Amino acid sequence: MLSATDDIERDIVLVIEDEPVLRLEVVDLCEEIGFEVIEAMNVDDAIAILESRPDVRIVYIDLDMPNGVDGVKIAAAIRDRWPPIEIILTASTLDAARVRLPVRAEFFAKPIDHSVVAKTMRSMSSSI
Amino acid sequence: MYQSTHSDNRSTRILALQRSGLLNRTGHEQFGHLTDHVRDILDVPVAIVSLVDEERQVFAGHSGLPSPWDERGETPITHSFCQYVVDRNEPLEISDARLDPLLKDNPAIGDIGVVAYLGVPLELPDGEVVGALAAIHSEARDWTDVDKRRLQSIARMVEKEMAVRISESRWHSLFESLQEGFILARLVRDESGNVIDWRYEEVNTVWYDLVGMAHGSVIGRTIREIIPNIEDAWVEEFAEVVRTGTPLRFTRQVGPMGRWYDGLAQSVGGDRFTVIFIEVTDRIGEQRRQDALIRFGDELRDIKSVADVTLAAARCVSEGMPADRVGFGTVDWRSETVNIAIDWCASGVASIAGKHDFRSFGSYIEDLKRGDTVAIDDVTMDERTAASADAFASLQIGSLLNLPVIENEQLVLVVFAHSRNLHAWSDEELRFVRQVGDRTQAAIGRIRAEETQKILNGELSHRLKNSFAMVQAIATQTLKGVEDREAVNALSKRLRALSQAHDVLLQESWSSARLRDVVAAVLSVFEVGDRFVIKGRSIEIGSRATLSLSLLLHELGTNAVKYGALSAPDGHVEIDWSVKRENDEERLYFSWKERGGPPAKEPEGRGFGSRIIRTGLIGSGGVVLNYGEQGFEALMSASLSQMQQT
Repeated sequence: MLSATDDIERDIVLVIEDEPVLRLEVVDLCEEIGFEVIEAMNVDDAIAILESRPDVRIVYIDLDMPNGVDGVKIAAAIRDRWPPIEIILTASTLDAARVRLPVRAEFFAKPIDHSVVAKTMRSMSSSI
Repeated sequence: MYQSTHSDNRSTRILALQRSGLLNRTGHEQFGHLTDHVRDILDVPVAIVSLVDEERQVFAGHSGLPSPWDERGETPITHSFCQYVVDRNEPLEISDARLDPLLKDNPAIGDIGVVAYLGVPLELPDGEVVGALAAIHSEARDWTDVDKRRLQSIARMVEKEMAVRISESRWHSLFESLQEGFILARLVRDESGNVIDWRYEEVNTVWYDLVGMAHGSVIGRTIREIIPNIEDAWVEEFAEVVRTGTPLRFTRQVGPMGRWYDGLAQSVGGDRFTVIFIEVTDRIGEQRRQDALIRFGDELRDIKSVADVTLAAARCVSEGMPADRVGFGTVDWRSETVNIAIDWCASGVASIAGKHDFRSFGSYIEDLKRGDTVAIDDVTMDERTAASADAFASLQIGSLLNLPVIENEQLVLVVFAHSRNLHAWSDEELRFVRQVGDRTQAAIGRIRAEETQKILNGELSHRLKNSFAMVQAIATQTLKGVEDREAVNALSKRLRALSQAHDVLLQESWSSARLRDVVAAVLSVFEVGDRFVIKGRSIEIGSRATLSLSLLLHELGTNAVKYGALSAPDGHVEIDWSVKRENDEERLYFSWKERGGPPAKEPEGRGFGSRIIRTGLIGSGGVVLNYGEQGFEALMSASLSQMQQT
């Protein structure tokens, strides 16, 4: 439906973030630079969305989410199941060097720098 | 009459005689071959070498004496003719004693049959006359000059042999009086001449004490018979001494006895050699324990896990103790079991790795639970373990030592040392083990504290970073409608600079940071690589200065990118600092010099950025700003001690 009515085909970002204030911020950022956003509160929801929406282009995951889910493993699983999807990870972890990233993912420490994240997302979008 | 005039001499010579050791010799026939000689040459039935003691004369050699004198080997002084030779220090020539005014009543005439007597003095090497060589006939006889000359010359031979004997006995008594052990030994060779062993020919009394064997039990036996498992070096090295004739100094252990000796081996001709030595087990033990503790201390500095601490502690005990099994196990205090992960065993001793029930081994776990070191010299005798003697025997444990490690008032680990043979743990050894224990506990305490600190720091950092992220998100949302996007961006960037400063602080547990790290971290967000030229050497600064300096550097960096040197393609910023002593105070001088960009212009407004810059390194001024043709410069200084306040 979406693709049928919209003139401009916008890339879809799935934002997985349980903290409402942070989610709002990322959603705004994505929309400002021209992405369409789907929001997920947790990993289970996110997986369900990914299964029904093969058009998701970028997944944005906050690794600090509770309930003992290892965000890095989720990211690896996404990379495994949906290879074309680009992944952006964020966390309050001290430094990027300590996060072992699955292949092809970008990491940004909190608080994020809007301009840098925006630049990265744009480059992911145009790399189709 | 003679006795009165010679009484002083008499006591001197008797002392000399007694010291000579000649009287101590049990063999009566020391000089028998020479008295035989006298009998033949002078053609007399009896000849004697008489040593004149206080109340008796002792025959150091005699030939032809009638019974019972031959067996007794001595007579009372009353029967002595020789005493007059000695007292006068001149030959005595009697043709018929029965007619001699001095001797006619001497009982020797009737008891021994002394009628004719020819005696000459015998001197010790130091000149003391101690006895006489005498020819005796049971019938009257006139002695010729030839007789006298011949007897004199045989007396000289007796004296020479006496000298040799004395010298031998002096050496012997020297060895006996030594504090050192002494061995005279001979190599034992196999059929093809290879040295395979050596045999004890003589040892001194001290030897038995030093080696711990029954007196007199070793002569004629070999070292390998006496200590079957002795190290080959104890044979090979002495064989080498004999082969080369080069003396050897050694400090070496007799492993099977657990004792150390320090000594000197020397070749004495043929296959014989001597060894003189002392036991140095205590000294070596002390040295080993000290070395082990030093190494343990070094290791502990770099160790980060409790498991590694315990491993190092067990290794330290094995290095410092004469045990044949050392290891450690983790204790489950609820089930009172110990799980032994690793042990080091001497050859012939089996590993006991695995799970063991404490109660199968007596009641000493009670002591361990209290944190007391348990040292048992003999498990069959100690009341805590005697009932479990069989269990210990099956594990080859004769003596044991257990060192408890306590955490949160619970027994969690045990470091142990076992000895098959009974070993009396010395005070020094127990002190050593307690030192190992104390250091182990301290190291574990430190590691646990560091772990807790690290977790707290991580948690704090996590929450802090999330809070920064939230503040940024709220600000972004709040300022959504604001036209001046630049101001909104500036806010985000300042928040991130502050957040960066916290990262650097966290690495040093929030108390301090290295100035160089702070500068590098804050300026890294500008992503201009090496266009910031950071020159200063690293010094520690406190947490307060870290935060204020971070904000300051962020503003300087922002300005440089916007208007200054970094707005031009070839511009760069030189950042340098140094510490100088001034009026008894150390001050930090910090400089920020922009080069290669447009000429600097003083800004018109007084925004947050320029105000922060003017407050200086710690917010109390000390700032000079130059807006020159070359570029902007900020020269700042502050008291180092204030910069280092936490």
